[in-house]
Amino acid sequence: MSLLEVENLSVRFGDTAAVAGVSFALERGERFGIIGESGSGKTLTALAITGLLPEGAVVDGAITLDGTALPQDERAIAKLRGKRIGMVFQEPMSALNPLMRVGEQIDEAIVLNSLAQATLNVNTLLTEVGLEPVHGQRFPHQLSGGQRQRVMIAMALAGQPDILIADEPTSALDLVTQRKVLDLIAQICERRHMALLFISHDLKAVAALCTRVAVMHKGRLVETGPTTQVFGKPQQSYTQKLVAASQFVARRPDRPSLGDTLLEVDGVTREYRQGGLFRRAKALRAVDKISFSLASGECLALVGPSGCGKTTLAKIIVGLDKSTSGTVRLGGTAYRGTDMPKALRRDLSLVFQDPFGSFDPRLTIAASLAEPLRLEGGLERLMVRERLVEAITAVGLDAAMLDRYPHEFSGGQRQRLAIARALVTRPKLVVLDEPVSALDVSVRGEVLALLTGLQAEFGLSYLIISHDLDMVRAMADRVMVMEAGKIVETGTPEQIFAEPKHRLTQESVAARLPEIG
Amino acid sequence: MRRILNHPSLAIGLTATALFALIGLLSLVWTPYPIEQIVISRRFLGPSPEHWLGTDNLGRDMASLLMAGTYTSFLVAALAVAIGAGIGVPLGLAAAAWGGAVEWLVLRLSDFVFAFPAIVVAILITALFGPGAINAVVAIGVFNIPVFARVARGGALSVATLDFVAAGRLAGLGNLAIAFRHLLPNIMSLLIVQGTIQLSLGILSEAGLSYVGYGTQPPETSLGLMLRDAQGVFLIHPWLTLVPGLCIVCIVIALNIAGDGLRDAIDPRLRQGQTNVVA
Amino acid sequence: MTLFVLRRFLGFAVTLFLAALVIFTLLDLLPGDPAQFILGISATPEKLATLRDQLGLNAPAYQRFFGWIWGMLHGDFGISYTQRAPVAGLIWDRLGVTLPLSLFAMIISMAVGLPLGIIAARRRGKALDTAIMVLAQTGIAIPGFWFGMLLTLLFAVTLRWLPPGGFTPWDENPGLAFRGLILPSIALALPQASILARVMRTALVDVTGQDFIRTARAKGLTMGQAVWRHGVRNALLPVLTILGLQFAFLIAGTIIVENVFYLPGLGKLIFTAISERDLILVRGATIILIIAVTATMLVTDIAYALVDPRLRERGAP
Repeated sequence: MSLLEVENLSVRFGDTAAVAGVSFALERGERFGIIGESGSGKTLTALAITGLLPEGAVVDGAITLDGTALPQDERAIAKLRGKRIGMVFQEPMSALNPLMRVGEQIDEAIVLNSLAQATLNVNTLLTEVGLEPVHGQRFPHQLSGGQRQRVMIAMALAGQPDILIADEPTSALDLVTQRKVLDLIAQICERRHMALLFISHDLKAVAALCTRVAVMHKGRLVETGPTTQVFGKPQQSYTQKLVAASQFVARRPDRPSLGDTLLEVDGVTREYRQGGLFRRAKALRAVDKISFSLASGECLALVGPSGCGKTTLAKIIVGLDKSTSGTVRLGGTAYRGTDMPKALRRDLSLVFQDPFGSFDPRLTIAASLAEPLRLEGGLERLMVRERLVEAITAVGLDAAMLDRYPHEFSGGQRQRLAIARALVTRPKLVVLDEPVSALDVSVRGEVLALLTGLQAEFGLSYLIISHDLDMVRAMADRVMVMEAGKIVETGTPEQIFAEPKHRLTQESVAARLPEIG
Repeated sequence: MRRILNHPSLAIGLTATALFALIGLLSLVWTPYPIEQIVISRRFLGPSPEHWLGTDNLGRDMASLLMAGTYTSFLVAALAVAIGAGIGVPLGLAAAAWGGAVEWLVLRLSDFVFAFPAIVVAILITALFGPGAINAVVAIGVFNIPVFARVARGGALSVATLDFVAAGRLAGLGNLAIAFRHLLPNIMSLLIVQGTIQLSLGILSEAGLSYVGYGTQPPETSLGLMLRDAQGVFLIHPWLTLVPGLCIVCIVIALNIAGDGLRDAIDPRLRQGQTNVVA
Repeated sequence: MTLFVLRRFLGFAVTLFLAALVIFTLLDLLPGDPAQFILGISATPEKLATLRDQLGLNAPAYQRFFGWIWGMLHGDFGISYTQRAPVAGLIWDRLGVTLPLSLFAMIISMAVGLPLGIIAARRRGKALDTAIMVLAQTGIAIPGFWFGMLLTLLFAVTLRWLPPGGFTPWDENPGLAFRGLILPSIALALPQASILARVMRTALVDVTGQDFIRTARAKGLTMGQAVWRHGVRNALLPVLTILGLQFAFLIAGTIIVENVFYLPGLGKLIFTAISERDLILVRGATIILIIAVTATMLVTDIAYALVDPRLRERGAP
């Protein structure tokens, strides 16, 4: 008899079925993964198993734990939660009570689920997840993302559950921390003989951790089976699409030769003064004497963990922020940031990370795309329209879309529109801040292919900011690794991956999950 | 406009408010009797075909007084909202768009004004200039300024962090252009909802101020002034206080329902964060 | 935390200083000679001059201003023109009515409004919730002072349980004094309680949708337990903000309600003072009102920081 059996589960909201006909089984100590993109219903499935569905959800189907059906009554199922099933959620910042110290929150979990022979205490749990007793005294906002996630895991373990459900536990974390937390989960499951239900959109993470996997799409289970089989020889077309998308195609070996230096960053530093009434507080250096150059036609990637200063540097280069010292030179003209001359702004564009915030919801696409054309002063309406059509067709979309509003488009389409907006002034350099990380896996490949194509067609140069080493390897000619405001290593992707020299690079490369399939 | 019909509370509230406003406006051109007409011999009459709502302690027709009073109350509240929004919204937008010293100044100024409740401002103005309806307008209006500034700033800040604002800066837009083109349209719904709230509060405030004699002065009338007139005699003639009081209650409920409905119709997510400016 | 309190206190002091400046400027701009007013029309110029000297009216403006501030810090608010008594004493007497009235009103509104809001949130969507919210919606539309009139009609005229107005001083008969404040407190409390109920409900409903409630349930708490143990504290934050702001309106309301019940409070004092152009009294009473309002905001800010640890480090919002 399986530990957990789900039979024909369906979750409906009003008339729409968010989950339909989902069946699977979980054995004791087994590690089972559910793969799906946003809207696939994977989280709802997990919530249905623990009775935590939001109001208005109507559940149907049979869920049994050790042969007994899951109770309907809130009190009864609350007893099961924590004791038999532990859950770890995605956003550790909002998932912890901001007003309570984390130690107290863990303690609550222990007290709720204490068995007669309880020998657990908060410190034991903290150590098990790799934290120190002093962390227990802190409030959630005083801990880092990785630390908060460890706290969540400690809380989930407090009741010594048989099953651990982890829903996107590492999506909000950076590369190195991600690897550490995944390893931690694997170790704990091993040590405690706990079953793991691992839910994610990241195929590599699931492949690294789970022996069996299920793929969900639009609320239905598309394919199930052993990991090696599902990823190695996917049967369904959707699965095939997913597997293909997560394997980035390496760059074409023959790329046009690079031209002259286009962008020169010379000793740029950005300091922030901290402290209020008394100036004795030290200044924070987000960017510390950075110098590098970018050639025309080159694709340069800037990688580093969150907080390393790469976004700040990008903002200075694009002219949204001002350097404290040092200059930037674009095509010979020097500037410090916000003092960038208008004429120069045409040659530079920025594509933002989040497609959902890039467009003013009250303006039509045409109005938004036309905004940068103000820099070219004196363009007639007809000319403006021509340029808009040119830009929007270049990204593979239809000119009719110009008169619609942003909310009518999907994430992938909006990112294409953002690229169109970046192209409208016919720039020389396009800065891309995490261009695909907010997109669904299946869409990422298309957008990256588009970017590569555009670079060849228009002779663009790219500065890509990312934390995703795999994407960078597929796109970049050169990689710069940043840490704490300084560039710690430079090289071609092959060099970086084969022989990382700096400690951070080595960690990051080592943290990469193995390829699938 | 389809959306209005989808939200019954909005439809009801708006209709009711419009009704009251129309009655008030009507009083500008016609009332059953002129409101200044004092006929002592016909005072304290109950409702009758000639005087639909009876007469007050001076024989004036209650229905006429109610119509004119509604108009004055609305006018005072509306002018106060205009002052508050007209000055407060630009201040709030400036604070959000420019940040730095401008923001600091606006915040300190609004904290300062918050220390002066409308009644205190009304007291000061009356001490300086004597009583009058304009005192109420200024007093309530002044207190509305930091309210709107806060709301505008709060709304603009959450918009200002979105990428499309940065995109605007990249396109060469200055702070002023950003404020008008991107910030203001996106906080419009927030401001409209706040406007209805402040309108209903304004009517209540005007009532209070006129009641203690620091608002509308005779021979004009307002709902609050009617209550003041009733103060001496209501123990014996409760009708005189019931009529204007109920009228105030109905108008304010109508406005509040309309405001709630507006909020839900425009963006249900606005429900949170409305905490700092209630009443 | 101490730094936070200090900064807040500094802000408080600065605001008060500026407020005093504004009041002084406005009131001292007024034409009219207080000395003339006190001594009457028939006073001789010499007597007027002596009195002006005595009142310190010949000193330059800034000297008078700082003299006033200095005096206030020592509890001396000047001497009333019309009543020939220390302003501080007069205000203190009246505060004996206004302060307890505000306090009772605040207590009643919290005791009634907050629990009703919690109940409405727990029974969200059900009949009880709708009933409470309809009541609250009506409650905020009713002017406090008008409600006072209605209460008087019901309890004093029809039922004759409570007095319709007037006030017996505390030292004469505390029981009667208290009775005199019951109806006005309830009148004041109605709109406040309604607002608190609505805000509490909204805050609690919002909190219930938060992720950490889901985490609490994942640990093994039922929904009710999770909301009670984790939600209420978080919901208190917006409620605290409102409480502080409401106090400003409560003060205004108190002054007005006193009129309905013929209570000898601060309100009556101010109104008479204005009509008699006793500017020293107006000045003193106004600054007291402002101190009350600002002090409440200060206390609320500090209470907020006590509840929310995230604010303590950041200092100013």
